[in-house]
Amino acid sequence: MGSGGYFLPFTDTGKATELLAIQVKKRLGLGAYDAVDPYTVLAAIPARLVDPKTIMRNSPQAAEVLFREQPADWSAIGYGVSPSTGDSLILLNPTHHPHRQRVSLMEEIVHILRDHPKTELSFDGTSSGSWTRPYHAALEDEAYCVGAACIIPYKQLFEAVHHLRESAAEIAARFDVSPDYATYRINRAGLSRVYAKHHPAPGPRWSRMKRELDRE
Amino acid sequence: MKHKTTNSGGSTAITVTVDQLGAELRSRRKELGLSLRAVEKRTGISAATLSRVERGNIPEVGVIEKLAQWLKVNVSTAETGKPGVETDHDLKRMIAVHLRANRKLSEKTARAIAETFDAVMRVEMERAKKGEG
Repeated sequence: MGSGGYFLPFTDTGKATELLAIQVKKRLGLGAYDAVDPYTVLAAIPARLVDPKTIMRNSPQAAEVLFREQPADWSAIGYGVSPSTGDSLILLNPTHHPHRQRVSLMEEIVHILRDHPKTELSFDGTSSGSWTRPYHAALEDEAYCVGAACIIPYKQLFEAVHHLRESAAEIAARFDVSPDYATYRINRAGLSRVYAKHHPAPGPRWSRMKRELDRE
Repeated sequence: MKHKTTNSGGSTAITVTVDQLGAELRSRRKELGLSLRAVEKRTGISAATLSRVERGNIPEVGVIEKLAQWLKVNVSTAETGKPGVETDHDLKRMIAVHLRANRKLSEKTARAIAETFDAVMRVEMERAKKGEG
């Protein structure tokens, strides 16, 4: 067992991330080892997804930019609290793969529940006249890795990697995310060595041997 | 609170928050001895809209851009360090969003996001008026 009676990763950063994820889950009314489905916890925040059609109907030019011209520029937007319902409003990029939308939504939820300051869009009227914004790398990183720990809890990941010897693709399928995301979570949880032991990746040595065999 | 910021070109500029824009407009207009009609000719923003802005209404994104350029100020859309939004009025004054976006967001996308904020809040205000939710 790790500190505080929880089963936690061995690395310091892994531990810190897991404890933050546990805090987030408590605020959502979930247990420490529960996996979070970001869509089903929206009501507990409370939060609501903005229908992309709302943007298309009420701001067609912006919709054209966000959904057609520059869809790779963004993943999700958290607008703050609705004056009508008090829900936090979130727009997900509808052009992205459902896996990515799921991860983006989880990140938004972490930002909201961790009370991260919002990004301030500013207009520079003094020279070129452009919209700018600051980028909080540390907060973005925290939201991403805590979000990953919420979707794929350490205890279940440890079980999958250590005992079940599942591949990243199998873990990804179980938690409805991409294999890359599952790999990221394995690495951030400090389980990459154990994973590599069970799933050795073909490295340079293997490639050299294969080339030599091919030549024979 | 107005504050000075240094632009990428190294020049120092005044930054005002969006809810200070009206006061800044009135002050600059009086300083230059211009009527609302005269400012309308210079900015392309109608005198009626300028008057509403001076009375404290927050204009749409396009108007903010034009006014910022005419006043030669930076407009910050949210007041840094402002406590949580409590009322509809406060909410309308903020275009501060949580963004999952590229580190180097294009100006066009940033502008579009600001516009969607206006659109989403308009819809929510309508819902509130209708008593929905």
